[in-house]
Amino acid sequence: MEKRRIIKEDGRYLIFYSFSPQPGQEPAEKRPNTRNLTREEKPLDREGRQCPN
Amino acid sequence: MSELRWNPLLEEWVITATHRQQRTFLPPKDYCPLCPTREGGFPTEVPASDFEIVTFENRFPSLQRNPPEPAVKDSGLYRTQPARGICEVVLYTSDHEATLADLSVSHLDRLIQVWTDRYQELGSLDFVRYVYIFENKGEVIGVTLRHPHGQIYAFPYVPPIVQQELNACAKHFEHTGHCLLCDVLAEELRDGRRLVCQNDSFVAVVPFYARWPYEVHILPRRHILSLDDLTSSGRRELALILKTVVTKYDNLFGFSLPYIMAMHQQPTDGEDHSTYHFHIEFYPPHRSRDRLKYLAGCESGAGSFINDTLAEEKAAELREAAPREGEEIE
Repeated sequence: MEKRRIIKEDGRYLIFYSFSPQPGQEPAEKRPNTRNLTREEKPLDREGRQCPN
Repeated sequence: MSELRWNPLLEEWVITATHRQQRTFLPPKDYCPLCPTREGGFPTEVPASDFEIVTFENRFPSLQRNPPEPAVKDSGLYRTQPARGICEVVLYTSDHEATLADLSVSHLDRLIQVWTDRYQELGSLDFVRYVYIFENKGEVIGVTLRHPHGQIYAFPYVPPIVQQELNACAKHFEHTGHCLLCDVLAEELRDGRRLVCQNDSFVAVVPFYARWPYEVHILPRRHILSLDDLTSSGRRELALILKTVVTKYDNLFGFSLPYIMAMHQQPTDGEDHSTYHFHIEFYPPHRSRDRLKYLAGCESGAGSFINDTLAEEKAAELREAAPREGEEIE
């Protein structure tokens, strides 16, 4: 079991647990999507609030 | 705003966490904040295009690493404390549609390794006295995000139900020299009517004292105190029996059965809890295919549960639900 800990922009931690790479693939956590939406771009939930992140 | 307020009448802490009113409520699938961040999609909680298992600090925590000072001053009678602790979310899989029952035994084995790691890491913090691993499944339970996930609360105190169990186990040991849950397990195996399924390391029963119609407890045969005490084969057998129980739940009425799953382990407060016995409890709210049990006047106001069913009959129904004894699962 491997752990990779990152700190999010708001200071919260997140830990990826990986056990074995998928055949022919890099472990998923090595391909982070670092694009961040602006607050205005973020989607709304059913009650009209912005989704987290 | 979050703080602990002491109830002197019940002698227990209440967590106030007003910021949780703002948490995301049942977003559409395409905007699930617990899914991986897809290329070109909106950024979710997980900045990766796929993952096996992830844990992260809850965005709307009831307990916080650095909590604010309580809004109301301690008056002596009315005690307050900062709500210090940690709340984590555990994402079981990147598959939005999956449930615990859909995960392979191997994946469940990995999930148990993650739970064990969180128990160890959070339990080692000096302000954490109890690591509570649980899952709320289904909207009738109050789930606000459908993606398969569980939660972990690292408490600064031992929560009341666990404390009550600790006290009962210590008292039973003092009187008999035996572990209470080892004796319960022996009684269930001897009687047999409430057994749901079993393997070499674990037994699942609708307990004699079930409060919910389809309540199931999973008990290790060996006297262990926490996930930390599991061997690798024991962990595999826990994965197997978890898969069996939740699959039986889903086959009971032909739909994915909502439940609360509560993991009861020894506290991490440095005290001796050797008379305790690790176990997992499931509380599905359904009392029939289309009827729910509510915590009404007697349960909420008097703290006394009324179970409209017999544990022996409900266990028989669960035994009959697939997978039955001898049927393979993976």
